[in-house]
Amino acid sequence: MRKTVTLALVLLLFAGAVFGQGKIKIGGLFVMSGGFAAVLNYQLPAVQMVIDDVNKAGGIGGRQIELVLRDDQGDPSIVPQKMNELKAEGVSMILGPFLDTCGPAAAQWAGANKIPVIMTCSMSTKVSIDNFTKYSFTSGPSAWAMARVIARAAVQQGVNSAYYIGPEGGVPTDMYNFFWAEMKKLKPSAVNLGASRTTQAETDFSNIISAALSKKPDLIVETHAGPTWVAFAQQAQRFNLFQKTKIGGLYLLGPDNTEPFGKDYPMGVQAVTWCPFYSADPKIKSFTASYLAKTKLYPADITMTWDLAALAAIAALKQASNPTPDAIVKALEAVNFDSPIGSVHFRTFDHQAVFPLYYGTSMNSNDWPFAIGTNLVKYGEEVFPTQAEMNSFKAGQQ
Amino acid sequence: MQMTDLVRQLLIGISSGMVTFLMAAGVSLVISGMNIINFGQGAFFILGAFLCYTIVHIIGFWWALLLGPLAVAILGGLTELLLRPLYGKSMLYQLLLTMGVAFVITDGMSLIWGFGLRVVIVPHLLSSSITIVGIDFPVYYLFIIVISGLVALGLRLMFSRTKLGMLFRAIISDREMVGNLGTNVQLLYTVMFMFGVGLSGLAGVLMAPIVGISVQQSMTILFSVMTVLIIGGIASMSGAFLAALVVGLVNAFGSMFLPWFYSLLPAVLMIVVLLVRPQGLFARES
Repeated sequence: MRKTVTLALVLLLFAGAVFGQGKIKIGGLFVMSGGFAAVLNYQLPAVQMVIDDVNKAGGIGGRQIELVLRDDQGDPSIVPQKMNELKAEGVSMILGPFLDTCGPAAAQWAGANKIPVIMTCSMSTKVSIDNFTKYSFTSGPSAWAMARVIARAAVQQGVNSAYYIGPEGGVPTDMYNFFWAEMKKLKPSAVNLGASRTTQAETDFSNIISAALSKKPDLIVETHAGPTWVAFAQQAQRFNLFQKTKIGGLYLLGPDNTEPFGKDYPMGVQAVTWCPFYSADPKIKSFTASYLAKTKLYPADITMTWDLAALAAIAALKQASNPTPDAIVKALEAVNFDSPIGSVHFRTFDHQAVFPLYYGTSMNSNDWPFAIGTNLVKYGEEVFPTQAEMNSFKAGQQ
Repeated sequence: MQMTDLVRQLLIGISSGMVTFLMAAGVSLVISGMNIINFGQGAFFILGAFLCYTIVHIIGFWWALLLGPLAVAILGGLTELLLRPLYGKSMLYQLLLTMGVAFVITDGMSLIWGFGLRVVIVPHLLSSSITIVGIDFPVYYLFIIVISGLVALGLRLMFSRTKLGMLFRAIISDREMVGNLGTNVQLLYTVMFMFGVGLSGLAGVLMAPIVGISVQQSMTILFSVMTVLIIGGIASMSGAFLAALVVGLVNAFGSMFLPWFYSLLPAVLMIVVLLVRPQGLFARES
């Protein structure tokens, strides 16, 4: 009897091991605690939906996909530890981290551990130049490209002076530098009125709003997003900032930023967006409907970034003959996958995902429960930095 | 740079300092009277803000201003009951318990309000701006200054003119003597804790219309309060008042003159105070 039980247990363990090996594990590094956990529901379901769809359709080569989660708390010092845990879990690749301050640590880890990572933060030169590795990819847009978009729109709108407000981090720094590089190129007479930098977790903006107002800028470039932007916008409304000057930034047309305000979101906020969920395009409409049905939320720009990361991962796993790191990297570099916002690919020289960027202005509409982007202007790969520009920037740094 | 810009920064600094004072005063009261560092103070602040969000949607902002702090104070009273078995034991146990309570409150808030951000719209009466010495200034910030100023004045009067204030002062000086005189010290502790926590709740209600509310902000807020307490003197309420104003003004003028690193200034000031005058700028040396 004892022998039978032991044999059964051994068989059970063996079966578990076989089935465990049969699964392809993908790591997901999310901010599940701290201030940015407030927007987790705009991120995690996007990845889970892609994986569920693949698993329902029979998986990849008959193997099911399993998402293994870790909380990086938005803290770069914790990122390597969490990535090590995911590695120990046997993941084939990792999606995330989401905050750009964690990007350099993740890129370094990917290079050292030779495991492909698709970061979902915006791409800064801290990642694409200073810490670029063969194994690090980014599904978020390039800060350099977004800075160009805002500068081009500012010049078209006759902006003569601008003030900058943003948190620490690679993306905000790039936004400031490349915005002014583009402005000076297009309009040399434009006046830089200065900048205020805050921590990522800042909640009191009244003093810097007031200081910025005293400079009387035509435009304030604002690179906070999520909880910090909500605090900023609330305080800016008290100072009538949106009536006194133009505001341009990133992510600010996404429901993670607009939905908490309902119809009271400030009108006229300009921002780069890549998830125009209100567009009439059938693909994005279908994606919006699915996301809304699953989460009761409209998808935001950050939702799309995670969706692209998951779609890229699946496309690469399908294309790779086996899920070894080098095969996945090769597949990611070659893959051209379909997404709700069109066809997307990674550039080989910086592993930046390329997709359309739009620049729009917030406005209420009777068709939506909160403000959406209007007067959208579409930009393509022409705004992304070229390899020559990146080489030149790198040479200038040395 | 015009004089009007400096006046606006001055008012901003005062309003920001006044809200921080409300929280710091609560922590200071509990530390000086009960010898407890309440790590739950940030969670009580956020709870006040969330209660404001809900009450505003049901019966409006003015009721939230009254009921929010009251509800938070009642919860504070219940927390104090949990602390009773730990009096006389290591301060570490009390600290850990308040931390545990903070986690429970935070998780409770997540269950009720979720992880998403909540926004409270400023009541119409307070949403406009008025012109003061030639500058447009938001009425809501003046409202914060007035309410917080009234609370500060009320606290001062309570401590100097009322029996409760006298008992609070007595318990801060010598709790054993107060007990020997037949005063119910346990009840006094409960009232004191409710008072301290209620002040945080009030700060949460006042700040709700100008910050996005999220359950995860508790610890960040506690840090800014501790900075003020260390600068002013950890168990000195008047020190907390002056330090909160100093930090508010340093932030306000720092953001104007040193915009790239103004947010570091309070922490730098805290370190300097710890090195030069560890008991705090405005506290008497014990």
